[in-house]
Amino acid sequence: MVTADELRKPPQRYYDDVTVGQQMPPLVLGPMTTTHVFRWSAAMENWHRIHYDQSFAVYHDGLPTVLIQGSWKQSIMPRYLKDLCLPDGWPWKVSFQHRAMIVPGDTITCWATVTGQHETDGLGLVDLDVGMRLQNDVETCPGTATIVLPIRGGRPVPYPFVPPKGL
Amino acid sequence: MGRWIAIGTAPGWDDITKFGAELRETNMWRPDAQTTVTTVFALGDGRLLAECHAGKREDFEAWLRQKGWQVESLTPIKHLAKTGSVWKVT
Repeated sequence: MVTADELRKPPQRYYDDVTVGQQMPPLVLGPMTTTHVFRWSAAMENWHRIHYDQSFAVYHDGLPTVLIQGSWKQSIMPRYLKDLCLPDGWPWKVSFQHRAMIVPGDTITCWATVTGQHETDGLGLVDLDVGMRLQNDVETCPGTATIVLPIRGGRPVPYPFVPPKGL
Repeated sequence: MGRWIAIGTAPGWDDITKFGAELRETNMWRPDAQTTVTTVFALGDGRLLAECHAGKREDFEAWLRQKGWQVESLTPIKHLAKTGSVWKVT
């Protein structure tokens, strides 16, 4: 059993540990169920029927079935990036597209590949290609992100993070 | 998008284990982004009934072939009622 403290305070990933081309550890979620979809609708108070009324989704909107919410994907990607940075880094920015539907039964793999890194103002900025890939290799959310990792022996990443001037 | 009902038979699909193995995984009922097999019934007389929506009829036919169905009929749906909700389909 992993404790909450272990989840919040994993071994720190340092800027010095990453290299361009490196694949970050993936986060695998699913298979998704209608319960996941409904729970998110309830939490978000998103009552669009395409998320819980299968007949409406299929026969009114012509969808395959109820859909996983875009806002869920928008919460998972930052969570994944945050987990890559814990405990003392910062997921600075992310931008991605919604390119394919996710439905109950799908399994999602969040992934990130290092595309660039640069030290600025004593901080380690790491650029990433990111995405959320389905079990059939369909890429649903391609995008890019920048995370900030501490440099060994360097200054702490400020909390809350303030982007270096000029970036 | 069009919607069709196919009636036919397929070897072993009267067994729930085989039926589940053929249909449970997402890619079994959603072979591509435009094609969804929304419902499949195994009837008591050994026949099967499947509902599909797809961009074109050929996409549903390809799924039926790939699944080994002997198709008796394949018919477009006009409208339907489902537990009190009525939907015009075409």
